[in-house]
Amino acid sequence: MQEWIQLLIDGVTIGGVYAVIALGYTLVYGVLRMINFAHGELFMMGAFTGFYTLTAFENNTSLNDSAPVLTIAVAIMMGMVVAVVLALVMERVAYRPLRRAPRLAPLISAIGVSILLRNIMLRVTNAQGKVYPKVFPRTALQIGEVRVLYVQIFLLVLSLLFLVLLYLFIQRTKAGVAIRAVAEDRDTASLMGINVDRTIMTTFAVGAALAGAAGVVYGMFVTTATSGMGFIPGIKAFTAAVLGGIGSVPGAMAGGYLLGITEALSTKFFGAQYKDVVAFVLLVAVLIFRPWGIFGKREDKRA
Amino acid sequence: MKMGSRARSRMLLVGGMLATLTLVFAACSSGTSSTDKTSTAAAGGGGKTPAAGVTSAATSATGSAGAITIKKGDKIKIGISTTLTTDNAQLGIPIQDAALLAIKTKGTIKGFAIEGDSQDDQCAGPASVTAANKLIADGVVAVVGPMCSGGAVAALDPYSKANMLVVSASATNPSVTAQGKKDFFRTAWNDATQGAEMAKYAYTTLSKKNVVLVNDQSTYGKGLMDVFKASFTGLGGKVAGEEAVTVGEKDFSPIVTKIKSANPDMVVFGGFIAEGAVLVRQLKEAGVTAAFMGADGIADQKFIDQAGGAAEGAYVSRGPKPTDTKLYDAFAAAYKAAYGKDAGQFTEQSSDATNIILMAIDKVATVDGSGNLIIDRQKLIDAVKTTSYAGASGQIDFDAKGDRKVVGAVNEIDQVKNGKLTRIQ
Amino acid sequence: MSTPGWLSALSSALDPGRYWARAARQLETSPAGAMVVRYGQYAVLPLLAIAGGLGPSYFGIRGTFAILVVVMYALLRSRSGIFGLAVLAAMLVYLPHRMDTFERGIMFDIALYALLGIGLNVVVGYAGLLDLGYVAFFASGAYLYALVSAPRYGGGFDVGTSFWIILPLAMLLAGLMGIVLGVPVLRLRGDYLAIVTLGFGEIIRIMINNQDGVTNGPIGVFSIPKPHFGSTELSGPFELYFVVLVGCFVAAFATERIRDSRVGRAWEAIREDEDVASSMGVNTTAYKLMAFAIGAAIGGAGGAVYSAKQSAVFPTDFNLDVSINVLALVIIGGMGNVRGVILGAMLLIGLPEVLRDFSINVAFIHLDNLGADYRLVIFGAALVAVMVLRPEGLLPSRRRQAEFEQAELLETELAT
Repeated sequence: MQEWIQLLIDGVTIGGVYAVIALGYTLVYGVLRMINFAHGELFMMGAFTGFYTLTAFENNTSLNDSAPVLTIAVAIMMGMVVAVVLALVMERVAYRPLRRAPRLAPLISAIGVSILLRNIMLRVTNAQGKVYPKVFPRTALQIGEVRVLYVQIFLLVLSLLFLVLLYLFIQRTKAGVAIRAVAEDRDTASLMGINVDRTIMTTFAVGAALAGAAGVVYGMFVTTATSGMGFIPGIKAFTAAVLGGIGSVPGAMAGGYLLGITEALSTKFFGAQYKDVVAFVLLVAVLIFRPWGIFGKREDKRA
Repeated sequence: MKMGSRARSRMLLVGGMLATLTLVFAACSSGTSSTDKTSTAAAGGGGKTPAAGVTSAATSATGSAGAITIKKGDKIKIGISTTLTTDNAQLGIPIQDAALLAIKTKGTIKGFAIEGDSQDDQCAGPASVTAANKLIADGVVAVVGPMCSGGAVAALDPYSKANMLVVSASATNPSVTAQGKKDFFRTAWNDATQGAEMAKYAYTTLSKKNVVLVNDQSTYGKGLMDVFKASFTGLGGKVAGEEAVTVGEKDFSPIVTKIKSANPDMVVFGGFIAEGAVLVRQLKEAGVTAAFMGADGIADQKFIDQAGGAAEGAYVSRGPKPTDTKLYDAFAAAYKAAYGKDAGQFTEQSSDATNIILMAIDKVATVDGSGNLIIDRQKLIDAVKTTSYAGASGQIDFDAKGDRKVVGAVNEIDQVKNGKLTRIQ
Repeated sequence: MSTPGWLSALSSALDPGRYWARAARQLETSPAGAMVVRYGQYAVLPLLAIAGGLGPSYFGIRGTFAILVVVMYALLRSRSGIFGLAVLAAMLVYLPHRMDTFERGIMFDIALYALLGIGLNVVVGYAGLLDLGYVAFFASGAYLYALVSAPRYGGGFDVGTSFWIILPLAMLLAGLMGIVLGVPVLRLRGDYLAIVTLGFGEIIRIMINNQDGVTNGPIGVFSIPKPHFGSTELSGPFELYFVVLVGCFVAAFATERIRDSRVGRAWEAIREDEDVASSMGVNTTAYKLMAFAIGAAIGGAGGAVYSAKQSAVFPTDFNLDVSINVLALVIIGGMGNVRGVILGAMLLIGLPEVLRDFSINVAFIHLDNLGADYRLVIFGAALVAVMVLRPEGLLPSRRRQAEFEQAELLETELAT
């Protein structure tokens, strides 16, 4: 029994990460009808930023020991900033010129950006992982046989917080309304006076900030940052977004957690080596039987 | 748009030309292709041609699979195929350094200087083949490497076609010698030996009866765990589970949870540093009290560093060491003096491999009338076959398949004590 | 808002094809010049034969290769298309005889990727189906030959059949897989299709890696025997390179013929607008599956030859990077166009090797081993650059070229 609970917690942890990354996918898809293949790389860059920030603190100050809350907060902020800047550059250079191009073009451009970012970091690190300095204590909360690391709880709570904040942002703020309008009908929104370019930039920025922050905290959880760490989570997050209904914020959340838990539980039955297979089979099944996802609307059934 | 017939006649024309050209060139080249394998970069051979910033590899040695000729004044090149990028470079670069040190120590052979030519084989099949082709084209006399088992299996195809002497310090999977290539030897033990030694130690010395095996789905890791399983169950032990991790993944939580509920005496890991460190750390964080044992793939200080203290108490099986440590200590001291670092895993085997090659070259090389050095490749291989060498990793003799004989050395077992690998057997 | 003017101007300035075409047009204005343009083309072949012969001495094999690629590209862009093909033929058949082992290995890789590109071109270029899991078909062909012919100790079943019998079987198996993998994705478009096919590619690799009983898992299959042609053993990249070359030619011929037939027109209709096509009565299901099957069969053939050349295969050889490489060369070379695919293969596989040891040491920029280490960085940048500056690819088919010029015209009209 204890094992099930532990697996559940493991699944919810990674599920939260998928959910936060999925939000970025779903938002961008909503406004641009395009999958930003390079979104996972923003997560990866966040993790590296966290590493470099915390290492800088470690080498030049003793703040990591005396004021860890401060250094972690700064690391998360830096992660968000770097991810946002990257995303805006990406949008301007690789996607905006292709807005009216045939639909294959932005997708391939995105693939190109993904390859570019991954391999730049590969070269910079000489293909070796970077180990985080010890900032977050690796102690755990133990209830019976079930053990949860405090940093894991932090990740869980942060993910939920982001999801809630984003939901409120989309529903309650002016920028959020603009995003929803552009997602619904771009030309009409522009006729109504909404600055479409700026709205799209905001969308990218918000999604990126979330992914970047998640990257930092995930980096602290697994204590390493590698250049390839964003790619598979990126694809899984896309699966999660589709599962929940692409274009829907609650959908991305639900999809993320569902995927994470399914993965963790499947490890028990099929072994860890088939984890990715389970995720893809789930994706195919959803796309065949219920392509609009859990929270999606029936008419939006294709790309 | 009626392109049909025009396109067809075009294709026929091109096809005809292609066929004609093929026949013509096949006829012309049948006499020249097999022996002329050098690239002539500029009139007079040797040297690099600067043209639009593109340099091409020049060979100063000419020769085929029969014998290699090194012109007077040129250097004897020893190829080093090892992993220079990716996480496994942590093991690969020291292998290169040890080989280079042995080359430098030897100095010259019959008045010819020696130099090393390193190529990155990325611990994978295709890249090892590319590295092999590059080394062959560069005209090396022999090769130290490849580093990884999968790479070695694939690379032996071009190497054996060129009758190139290949001695590996670290490719340990049984499949490498199972191919029966006559030009390959290794100064590392076949994993059939290593796995059995590990199982023996775990069962007999440490009295562990119930284990879980974890492999990293690489040729090396999976192979090692298969051997361990066979030996361990043969001795009477029980394997409570077999898990696999994916190289590059950072979160093994579900596997750790499974291991915890299986409650073994020991977790045995076949794989490399990065994954080993993550596994041992997460096991400790989850409160798993079982002992941990790994093999040469994680035998490096980096493993301890990346695990962040969780590696304390872990056992590492490191492979052959001499019964009398004098030779090893001398090597380790020389390595430290040259590079300022401790001699890591495989370095002594790499040094031994290089020395065996150099000794064999010394034995069979002859100087001809014009002062050139001639080395017959087959004679070189035969010389290595009959080698009996007291090396830094122990007494080395090779069996008929090219494997290192088990006698002459003991399996070193280390334990992580106070953050350092400390020998306990 | 489109690409900035300066960027378009720069890319036009760097395009050799444009100069050639412009020069030809200018020459033609005078009667003498017109004669030169018309008949000078026939001198190309002997001139290039000489260049191919002397070039290696002055520029090195790799320099010659690079120069010939550029010349070929210029010719293909201009009206001397057929002589561009002649250059191609000469280069591909003649140069390997002058190369060393390493360079021959690279030529094999170029030819193999070109073959895979021709196969993927059917799926992506002709039918417009974005397939990111092409490596699955490559893997199935490779593993079929490997498992059937390798000895027991190598992980195979040692059936002892000839390579030439297994080759068509590999194509058949791959083709069937193409249909099997195509059925679930029939309803998917664009991005979804891409991700799902990517997933399939990964699933195949993971299955191969874990079904130890059949495939020998991570240990791989080794000691795969070489094919024999009559009495000669086709033992190395050099001999097998010519096998692949012939395969490329056959595949190119066959696929271009199919493209010019009714099937090809159906594909074009599906590519342009699937809904309209199906409402006009085109059986989209059948034609899509046909595209998958044909593309897959070519991939399977490539896999079998790869297996034979490598003599050892591992699941890690068949990862996502292979699919992405093939896609990149199809896109950058020019979608829907065999010549573009071949150019793409030469550029993306060949040039990084030419640049393998090339270093840049300018001011504070210090990069070593440009081709070897930075290859993928350059790939990624090239993909983006080509998409933004020239989405139709470097050597688009004439129809594509027209399409894109139309679209650009429309765009500038709307903007003004």
